[in-house]
Amino acid sequence: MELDEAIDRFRGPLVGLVASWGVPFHDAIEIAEDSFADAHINRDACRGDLSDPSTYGRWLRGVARNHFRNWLRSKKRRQRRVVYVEPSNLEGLEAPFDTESDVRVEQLREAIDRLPEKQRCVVLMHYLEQTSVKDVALLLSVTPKAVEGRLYQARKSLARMLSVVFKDSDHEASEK
Amino acid sequence: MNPNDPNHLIAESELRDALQIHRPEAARFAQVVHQRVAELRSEVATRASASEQKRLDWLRTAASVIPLPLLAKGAGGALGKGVGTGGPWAAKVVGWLASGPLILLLAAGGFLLGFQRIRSAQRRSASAEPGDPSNHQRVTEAWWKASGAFHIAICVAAVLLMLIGHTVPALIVFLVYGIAIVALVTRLGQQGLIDRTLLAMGIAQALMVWAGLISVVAKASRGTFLLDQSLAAAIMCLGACVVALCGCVTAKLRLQRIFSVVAVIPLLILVAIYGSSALFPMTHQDVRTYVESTDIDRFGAATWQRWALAAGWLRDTGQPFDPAQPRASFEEALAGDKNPYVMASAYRGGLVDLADAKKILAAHTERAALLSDPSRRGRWLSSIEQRAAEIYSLEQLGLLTPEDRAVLADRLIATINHAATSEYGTLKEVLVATQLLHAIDRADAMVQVRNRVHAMIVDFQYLETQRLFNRAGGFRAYRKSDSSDESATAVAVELMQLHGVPNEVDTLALRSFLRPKNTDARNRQGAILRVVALWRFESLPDAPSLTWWDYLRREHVIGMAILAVLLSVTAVVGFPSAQMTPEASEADQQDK
Repeated sequence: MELDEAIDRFRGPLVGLVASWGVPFHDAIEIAEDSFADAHINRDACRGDLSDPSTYGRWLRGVARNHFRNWLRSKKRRQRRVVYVEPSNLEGLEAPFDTESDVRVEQLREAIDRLPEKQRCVVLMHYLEQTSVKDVALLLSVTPKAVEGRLYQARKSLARMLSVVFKDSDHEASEK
Repeated sequence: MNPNDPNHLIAESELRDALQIHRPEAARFAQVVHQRVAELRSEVATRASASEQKRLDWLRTAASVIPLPLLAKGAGGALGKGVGTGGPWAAKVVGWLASGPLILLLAAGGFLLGFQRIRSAQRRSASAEPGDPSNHQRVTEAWWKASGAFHIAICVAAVLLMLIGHTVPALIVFLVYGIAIVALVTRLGQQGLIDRTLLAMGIAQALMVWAGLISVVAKASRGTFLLDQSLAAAIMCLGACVVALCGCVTAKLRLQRIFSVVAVIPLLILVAIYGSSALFPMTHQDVRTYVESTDIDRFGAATWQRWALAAGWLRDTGQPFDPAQPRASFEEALAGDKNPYVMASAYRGGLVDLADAKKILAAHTERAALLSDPSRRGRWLSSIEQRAAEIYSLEQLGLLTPEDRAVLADRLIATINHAATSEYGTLKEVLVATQLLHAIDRADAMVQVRNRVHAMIVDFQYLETQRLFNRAGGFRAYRKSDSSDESATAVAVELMQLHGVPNEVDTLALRSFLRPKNTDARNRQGAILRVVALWRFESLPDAPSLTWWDYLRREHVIGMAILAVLLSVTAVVGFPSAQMTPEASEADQQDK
């Protein structure tokens, strides 16, 4: 598989996959970029046939996993360097929510973070760039049916979580 | 749709909207991947040639230790054609056979064997009938005739190898020396001809000769060592002292005893000279004294820049120093030509107050205003080291608006990018730009250039070990320089403190370059720069710490010197002195 074709096909799901391991998105993009480059440079080391998308997906996932481990190690090293930031500076950076829809989007993001790992993984992989279920399945080495099942469960869980959140906020508002 | 319905699903559009903010930009993503692929390709090529060089290094080491016929059968082909093209397994085995720890292990085994043989010779000597003293010379001569030429030939060959190659051949000298001692002592012991004084004098002289030789070889050393190799010479001189005292203090003649004690004094001075790196290491007080004093001719900009590196370390670690003398020199420069390098160094050393900042800026008011001119946004600063003092002054006087800072940050980033990619860019320029980013509170912008700076740091490390009297592991002042530079290395370490240590930097080689030397007293400035850089590097959280294994791998010469001295002392101490034997006592009585 050519590099550009692979990037087009797996960019979104790979970033989503790495993000589902707990990596902030800006770092996840960087890890995904490095993974594509590494997978391409070291393609001779892969024993399978890389023209087969399922083999490429598995290979790319393995490379990304290695980069993620390196990132974890370097993160630990970075944590040893304590940087103190004035709390007032952080408050200044925080943008206020303007509308109700902003609040709902933010709560949805928080709800995604609280999903079980497998569900969170497919949600991030599929909806980040509206990647096809088939490509997500290729990268995860599972069947498309399994991905669809997890997506269904995830959407159901998210709806439930959000309805609970909104019920609580309505209750608080009526008490006031 | 009822949200309370258990089968209710969250809308897909909502999910897409929620995640849209995190969506990577497709074109930029592809561009970065292609750029990374190009970088990796060049890295792979560089790494391949470095690893080939490394393999050849250990094969050369092997070639100096292992007999050539063995190499011809196994790794000889690889040695001739280049490793990797043929017989890599054989080459690997030979390399392992020649590696430091293994040789040291074998030498330790040899030491134990030799020790045992000497002990048994000592026991035999105690129980044997005393031999005819006239036989002594005959037996020694016979031994020299049989194996002396062989020993000399090997030692001469090893010394020649030492002078043209690695210090590893020094190990052969130690081995030959050990074998010679054991063989001679055993032979004389069998004949009952051992005399501690005679033996001690011979061994002490041999140790002194080898100490002198090793000290010369240590200067030409080309390997990666963690300690000063002159310590091996110091250990041998110390061994000669101990041997001389053990053997000669109980000598029969008073003159011999006096001579041995007197001979120990210059030997102890030699121990102090050769071992000065360990006996008198550089301390924080030494650095403070250097920073506080202007005795070392602080007249040129270059000297001021070196001073700033040491003063910067003291300031970074919160160690106070008295700035009176450097301040006086700075005021002189401020009243004079306001050399921009001196001004920037003074800023780093914390010598500039508000009044000084005004004076610095007054000389370049119009030029300073152009620094943050929005029309020049994104343009790199062509002489960053000369403009640094102006930027510091603007910041100190509070003349920078948020817009000015943004423009300046852009220009500093452009400057770092230019230095990192230009053929003539230097680490110093990158460090100055990075420090200025910190000064104007835009350290966050460093993230944009971190990878480039890392690549530049790796590129500037000088790892060539094939040149005599040239210490590898430090950093070059310019990309095309062919030697390490102490100032550039100190600058590189400061950069690593700000940007992190790149994984590709050879930290062992760097430590090796920064290790103290017994000649530091003659190069005070260089020694101060190295020790400050070493302390700074060791304080970094991502600098790997040294293990015993590292020392074992690198310090085989010192290890062998210790074993040789132990063997020598064992050989001397176990035998009775002529004064103690009944025959000697009788002879003494008759003399009286």
